[in-house]
Amino acid sequence: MGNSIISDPSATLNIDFLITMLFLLMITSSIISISEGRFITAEKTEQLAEARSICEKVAHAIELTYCGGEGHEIRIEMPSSLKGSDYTVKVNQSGVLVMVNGKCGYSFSYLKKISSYNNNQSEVFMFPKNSYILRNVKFNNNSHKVVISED
Amino acid sequence: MMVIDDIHGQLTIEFLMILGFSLIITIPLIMGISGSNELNQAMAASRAGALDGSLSDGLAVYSEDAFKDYEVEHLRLVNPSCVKIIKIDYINQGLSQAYNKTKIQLRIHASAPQVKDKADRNCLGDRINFYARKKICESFHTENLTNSLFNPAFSNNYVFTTADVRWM
Repeated sequence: MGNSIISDPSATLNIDFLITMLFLLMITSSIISISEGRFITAEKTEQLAEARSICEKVAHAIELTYCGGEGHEIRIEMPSSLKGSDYTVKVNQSGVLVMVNGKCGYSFSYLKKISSYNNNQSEVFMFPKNSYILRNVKFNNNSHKVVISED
Repeated sequence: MMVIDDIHGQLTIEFLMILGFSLIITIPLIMGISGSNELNQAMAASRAGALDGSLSDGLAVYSEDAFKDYEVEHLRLVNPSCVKIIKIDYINQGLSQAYNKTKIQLRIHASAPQVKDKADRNCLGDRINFYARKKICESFHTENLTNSLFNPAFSNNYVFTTADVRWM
């Protein structure tokens, strides 16, 4: 191959090759820079969407537990991270708050009593990797509350 | 060897003529393109930024400060809504005497059919504009030249401001 290029008297192949490579490099570099930006946007979006999703999922599970009546149980597994970032979920009687990378998302839920299993606090934190059981428990004779406990 | 054997020297003259004309055409072309390319890059960055802002608005996942503010004053914004960027255009406002750069005002057109309240829409629009300006600064590494709101955003030859988002 080397010999055939050297013996080409008009050097057409060399010039063609150089021009092609030049255009190829120009197009490739512009595509790479555009796609890099798009990848970063896609990753950020995925993280925000996952945060929203986990928030809605917990709120939905609480609603289902409450509507299911006394003794109704739902088990939730929390993901280990949201696109590599640590997160916290806070549940209180008005809804579910998710916090990731200094950003917050919130899902409303119908006003109801929430408590953790051990202490009767009205605000419960849920952490990554853990599994939680949401249980509908009767209290004060005719009231119900959702108890969130680690599995 | 072949070039030396060419007794008419035709190849060399052709080559020089092509090279000369190419240079005459290419140099002003490059100068024109570089200006346009900068503006093009800024517009691409502003589009990416506006998209970031609209996603944050749409998914209702905000920074802690904004979230606390919305929880009190703009409760509708705590819920997700559909926010779309329709188009982005710009107005060339001529040379800015203050910065000695060409001033460009970006106008972002967006749609959020579920958000009706004007104050809520302003909040959504401010976020879209903020991310658009931020992305321009990041794209040209000029974060240290501007304020915390990235207003105005700078490139090498342009200074960018944003008009209120137009809702459609």
